[in-house]
Amino acid sequence: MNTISISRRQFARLLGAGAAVAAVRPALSLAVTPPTTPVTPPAAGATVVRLSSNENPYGPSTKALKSMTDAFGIACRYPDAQAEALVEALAKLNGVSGDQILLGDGSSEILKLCAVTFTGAMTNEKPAGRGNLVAADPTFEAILAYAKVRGAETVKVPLNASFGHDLAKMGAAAKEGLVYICNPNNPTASITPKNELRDFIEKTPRETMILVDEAYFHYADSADYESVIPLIKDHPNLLVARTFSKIFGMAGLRCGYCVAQKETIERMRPHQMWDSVNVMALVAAKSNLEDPDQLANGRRWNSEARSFVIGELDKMGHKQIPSQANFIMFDLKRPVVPVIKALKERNVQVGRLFPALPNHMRLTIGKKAEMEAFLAAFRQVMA
Amino acid sequence: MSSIWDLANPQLRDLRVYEPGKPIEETARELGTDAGHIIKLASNENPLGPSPKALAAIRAALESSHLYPDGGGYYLCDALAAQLGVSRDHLILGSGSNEIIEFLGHAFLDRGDDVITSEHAFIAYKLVAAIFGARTIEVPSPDLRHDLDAMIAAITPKTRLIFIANPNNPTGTLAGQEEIDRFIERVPENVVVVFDEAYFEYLDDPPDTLRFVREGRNVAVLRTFSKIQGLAGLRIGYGIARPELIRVLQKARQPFNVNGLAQAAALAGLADVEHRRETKRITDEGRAWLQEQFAAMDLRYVPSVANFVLVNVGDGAEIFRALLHRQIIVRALKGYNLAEWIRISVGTMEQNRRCIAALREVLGNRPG
Ligand SMILES: Cc1ncc(COP(=O)(O)O)c(C=O)c1O
Ligand SMILES: Cc1ncc(COP(=O)(O)O)c(C=O)c1O
Repeated sequence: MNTISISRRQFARLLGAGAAVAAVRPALSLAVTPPTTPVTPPAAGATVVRLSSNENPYGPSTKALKSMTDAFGIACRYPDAQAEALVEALAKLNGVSGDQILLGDGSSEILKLCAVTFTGAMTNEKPAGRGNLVAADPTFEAILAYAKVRGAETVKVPLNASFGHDLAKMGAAAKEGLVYICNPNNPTASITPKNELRDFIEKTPRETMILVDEAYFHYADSADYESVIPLIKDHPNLLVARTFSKIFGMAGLRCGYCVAQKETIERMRPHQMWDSVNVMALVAAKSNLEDPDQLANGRRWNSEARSFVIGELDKMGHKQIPSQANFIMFDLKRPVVPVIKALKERNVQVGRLFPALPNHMRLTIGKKAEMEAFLAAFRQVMA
Repeated sequence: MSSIWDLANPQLRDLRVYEPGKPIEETARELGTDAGHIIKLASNENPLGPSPKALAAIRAALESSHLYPDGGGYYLCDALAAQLGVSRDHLILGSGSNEIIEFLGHAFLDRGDDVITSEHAFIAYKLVAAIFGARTIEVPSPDLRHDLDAMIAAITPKTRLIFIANPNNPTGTLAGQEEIDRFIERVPENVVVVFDEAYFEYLDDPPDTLRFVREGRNVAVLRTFSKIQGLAGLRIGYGIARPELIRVLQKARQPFNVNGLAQAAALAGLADVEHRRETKRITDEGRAWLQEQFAAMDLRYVPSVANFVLVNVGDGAEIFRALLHRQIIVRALKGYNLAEWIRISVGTMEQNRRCIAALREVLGNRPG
């Protein structure tokens, strides 16, 4: 191992030497940089109540945990066989064929692949990825950053009065490219009604791709909600993203997937390096799917804790947007930023500011005890 | 409807998709045997597995499976920085070092650009160039070594990246310090040179390329936990470059690219000097033995410094299939334009012996 260390001064000099900058693609310099600092460690002895990232506090199924320790013997192997096994299981579950499934390093990678494959500068020659990215505001914004890296124009269309996607405006704004529909939507926990979505998918011309992000699908129980996976067979321009990070409790393991027509998946596949999903996530995902309790418990525990916290917030006069997810968004009636900060000082982490709704707070539904801890801190802060 | 290829990027059409080493499970299924009987010497993995410390760290990290990982890999980068003698802002983590190769493409490649690499070089470079519509210039390598002088001569005004796998996969050959120094002096400043050092830890006397990073040159060094650390399944690797270049690559990274278990395992594995030493020891011993056997069998092989050996068996695809029937998976290399050769990863001594016994049988059975 090479362990030459250099002094700070030497180091500063080297940096100051100002090497010529290689030709970075111009679009990239506009993109945002993901954070590289860790979650702030809690003050000694304190535990942090983390209600900021829409994670599932109960974690994966015990079967999934066991499948991971059982996989220790293959930790040194590239995980191709396990990827294939998960693809097969997902194909069966969704009633499609294996070549209609693409696995990702979290659904984040799926979002990135969609942006890379289906958006780009309008000056690109026809066969290349070109066209704008249209998304709601507020929504889960990661895909906007990926589209910018590709040099694509991005358009944000405000949610309508009932916090659904304004599909007419979104369709009108699309120039080839990709329309991103997050349903249920993060951060508002609201849904876009199934009839509106179905109409939109029918009407949208084929050169515009539609990505429906169903990360919170399992938590939605409204009669007005449905998955659009069954529509894929009639729509080569429709893609659905799903994740194991939410109800399956695997955010730390990184696994998500995409369902689309075979030819649509084939367009994306060459943009992905191989083996992007790790073996532990693959075996855990498969076992999770095989454990029916994971979904039933996840839904029940979420709705119990959610009802509890909603009841308390109602008493305090804070109206929520009706939630179809494992988080809620409610009206603080004052700017959220100072409240976020004050809660953080009390070791309670909540969602960040969403500039389109500066007086609203996004709160993940944790265990009941965590919601009690939140409420205690929240009452202090709001007093 | 017309073919989807009318819509897709034209450079993708002719792209050969990467063929991974044949999985043990698939082979077992095809042969109707138990996975435990199969020996896989096809993907340059560590036959000893990860460090027990790494496995213990994974076990402990399982209880945080539901939490998003620290995307920047703060603690792991700190430990790597201390070990490498650089600061944390010289480092970026990838889901395998493969992903860092992809970041380099996002950062620097566009339609019409050139990438230079060696003939028979690790295939990821060509794939990534194709993804971004760049052209790959493959510099001939008649003696299966990198010809760094020829790489310099191949540079065009459109050259953005030069990839040098050192040692190279699948040839197992190394470019030495002097050669590299001479090369770096002659590379124009606006070209980024990538030293892919996936097998660095197996080397007795590794060339120092981090010095170019410290000097502030446009050099990126790639390393991985997939090889000597035995964590190929966990997907984690890293890149080292000057901070400004790292900041560029960070823009192409999605926030949670490296999973939490891999980060914990890597951090613990890094501290296990003994596991690394033992892996290197069995690799050195196994490689020397394999090479002796090839010599005794009158087979041409390329003396290797990594955990695999390239050997000429006449018809690589045929021997690959024949070995497969004897429950041994090696790598055929048609995709690398090395159709006469197979690549055998160094296994445990018992695995090496079984592989050679099978190879003798297979070659003995061959007519002529
Ligand atoms: C709507 C939505 N999509 C995708 C993701 C990314 O999830 P992952 O990459 O963990 O699958 C999130 C994470 O919060 C999300 O809210
Ligand atoms: C030279 C070289 N670079 C990179 C890799 C990719 O390794 P990983 O993505 O597992 O870090 C390999 C794997 O075989 C390799 O041989």
